[in-house]
Amino acid sequence: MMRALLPLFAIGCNPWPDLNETYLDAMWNTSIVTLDDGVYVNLEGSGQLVRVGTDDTWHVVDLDGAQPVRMEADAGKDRLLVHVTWPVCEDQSKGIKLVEDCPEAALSWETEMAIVDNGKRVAVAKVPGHLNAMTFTPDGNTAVAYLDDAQSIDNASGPLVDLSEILLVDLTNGDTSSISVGFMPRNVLFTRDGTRAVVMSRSTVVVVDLEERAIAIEYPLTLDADIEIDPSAAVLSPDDRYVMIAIEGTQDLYKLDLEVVSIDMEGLEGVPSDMATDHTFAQTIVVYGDRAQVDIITEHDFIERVSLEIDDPATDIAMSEGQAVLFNSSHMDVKDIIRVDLESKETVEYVAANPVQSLQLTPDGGYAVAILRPETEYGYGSSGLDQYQDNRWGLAVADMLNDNIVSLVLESAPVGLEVIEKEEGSFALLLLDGVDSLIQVNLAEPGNYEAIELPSAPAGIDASPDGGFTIAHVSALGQVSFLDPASGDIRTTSGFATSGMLTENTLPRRDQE
Amino acid sequence: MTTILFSLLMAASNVVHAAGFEVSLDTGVMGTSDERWDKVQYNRSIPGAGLTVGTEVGQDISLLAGFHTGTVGSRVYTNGDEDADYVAWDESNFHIASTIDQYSMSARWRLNWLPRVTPTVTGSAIVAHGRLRMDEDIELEGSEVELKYVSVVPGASLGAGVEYTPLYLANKSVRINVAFEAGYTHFAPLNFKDRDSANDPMDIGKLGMNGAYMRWSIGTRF
Repeated sequence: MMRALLPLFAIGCNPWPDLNETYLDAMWNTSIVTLDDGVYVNLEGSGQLVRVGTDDTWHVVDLDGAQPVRMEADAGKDRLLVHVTWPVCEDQSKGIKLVEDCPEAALSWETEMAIVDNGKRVAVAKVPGHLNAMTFTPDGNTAVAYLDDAQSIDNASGPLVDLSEILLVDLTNGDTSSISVGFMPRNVLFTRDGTRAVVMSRSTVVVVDLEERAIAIEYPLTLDADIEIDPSAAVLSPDDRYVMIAIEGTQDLYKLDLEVVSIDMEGLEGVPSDMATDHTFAQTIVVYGDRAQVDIITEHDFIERVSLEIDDPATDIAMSEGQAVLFNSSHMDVKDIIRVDLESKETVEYVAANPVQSLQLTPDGGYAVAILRPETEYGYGSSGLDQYQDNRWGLAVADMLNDNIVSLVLESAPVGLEVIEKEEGSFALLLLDGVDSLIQVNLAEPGNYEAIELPSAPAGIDASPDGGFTIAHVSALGQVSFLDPASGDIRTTSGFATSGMLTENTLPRRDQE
Repeated sequence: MTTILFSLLMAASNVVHAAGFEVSLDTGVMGTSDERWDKVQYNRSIPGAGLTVGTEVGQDISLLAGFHTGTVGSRVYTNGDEDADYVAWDESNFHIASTIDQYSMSARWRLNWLPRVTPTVTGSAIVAHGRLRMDEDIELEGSEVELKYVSVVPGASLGAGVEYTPLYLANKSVRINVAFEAGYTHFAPLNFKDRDSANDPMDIGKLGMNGAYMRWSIGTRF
């Protein structure tokens, strides 16, 4: 009898976990936002917003039951702007308390934008969820929300969706003003005095008076309604009088006069891919994706420009005082980085080992730091060390003072790059996918780097307003590190992503419906 | 743990030869309908094992004290990159486990029906001590993420069962029993909070433990 009972007992007596496997969506989003008071983290798993303080304390931000969808800091990194959503169940039966209890036909989702200051929701703005991009006035107190069709469109819900709408949001109290500016607004510029916004949309450009919160001037870009003209790039002239607009697929440059309302057109030799304003010498720089040329508009009243020939086309411009740095982020066979001296109109060409994916300048413009992408996946057409370099990610450091460039090979794809200046010089802070170290590259001697050990692989880096940095790690339970770039000290806090992981999906705001 | 339990099991038959006392080793399983257990263990059942001792306090009535413990857990895989074409489940994961210790005081009524078969009804007042643990292996030694949350809640259970006595010893003054019992347990939800990392305790969530249970045991009455 005992022999029969012992196996039975052994089967039931299992006080240890079985080797079960459970699959969950990510508990937190590693796209963090660092403000003065801490790091804000979107806990996607539990629908909470958590502030992780630099003193290693965690705090759930009360969003009145809403769940964060995406978030960003305002222009001054003083406030956090959180686009949130919450479920509404039209069925008011008392037995319905959870989201899953609500009949599908009665369930809908509302959206708004919460303005968070120092860990508290201080105001709410009625911003529709589909307005997925924001830009800020120079004083930082007004945001313009608009629909950027280059990004994913979230929560385009409700009986009416106005795709021609922009929304002016007062960030001090959340008041909003909706203005219809034309279909698919895609670019917003502000005059430096912050009184006017210029909004580009399909076939229309409007000037918005930000004090009156109304359209002051409207410029039709065509008189034929059958023709669609989509602005691709735009800048304000250095004196804020003219708006220079490049049009997709055409070689025309539109010049809109904001004082004497008029439109002029300048025929260019190519299709502009990027434009930038040089306030030092009051010039505008234009590059072309299909033409090896850079134009410098030196006189805006009647468009006088200097054309400089370069070896290969450039698609992007990075600006610093007195110089423009051009690179090509589209073509795999172009590896040039070109410095344009905007005073002498001379160019210097630097050739990186691989094509440039992105480029940053140090604040003083002394160095350009570029992420280089693999030239070919399998190294066709090259061999030996060339093939080794072509197949890998890289980092190029161009010394703008001594006119030289160094291309380094990276172990894996970069997940974050920040450029800082310290007393000892300029440095690049580089995070690589799967590498448990922060690479600090001395830009004066790029081959000499320092590896600062991290607790785990990094997922991204975010600059703090106080000059520090926050590193998000690849960690299911939540892990961020605070880096003091001056001392190299790193403090890590972990486990905040468990907040609310076992809470129920309670229907919020039932008493307000 | 198994070794200890089996040693106790084998020792049970050597308990002193007196009257009106009982000792049993139990094992069983408790189910729960709370879907939040899915994150700990998908089948929402909590196994347990323990020890019960008791004494007769009246005709057919015994007062029992018991301790039971059980642990469930899983290896949790999370999808860290929603935009990825495939889910690299092995990249970001952690272990989760919950241990529930139950301290019970029970009253058991026995119907002396047949010499070897005894139906029972047992009512219990229980205090449950729940621990929720999560840990993540981080490559750098000393930087492992280890979290532990604790909750203590009251509960009660009511069950009915049957004891079978296959063996009498010491001139029938000692009975060796095997028993089965089933019933329903109701606990206040285990409420886990992080009290260390925030000025206001941060709510991790609750795990409800209401459901049917089954328990079988081997023991002795003497």
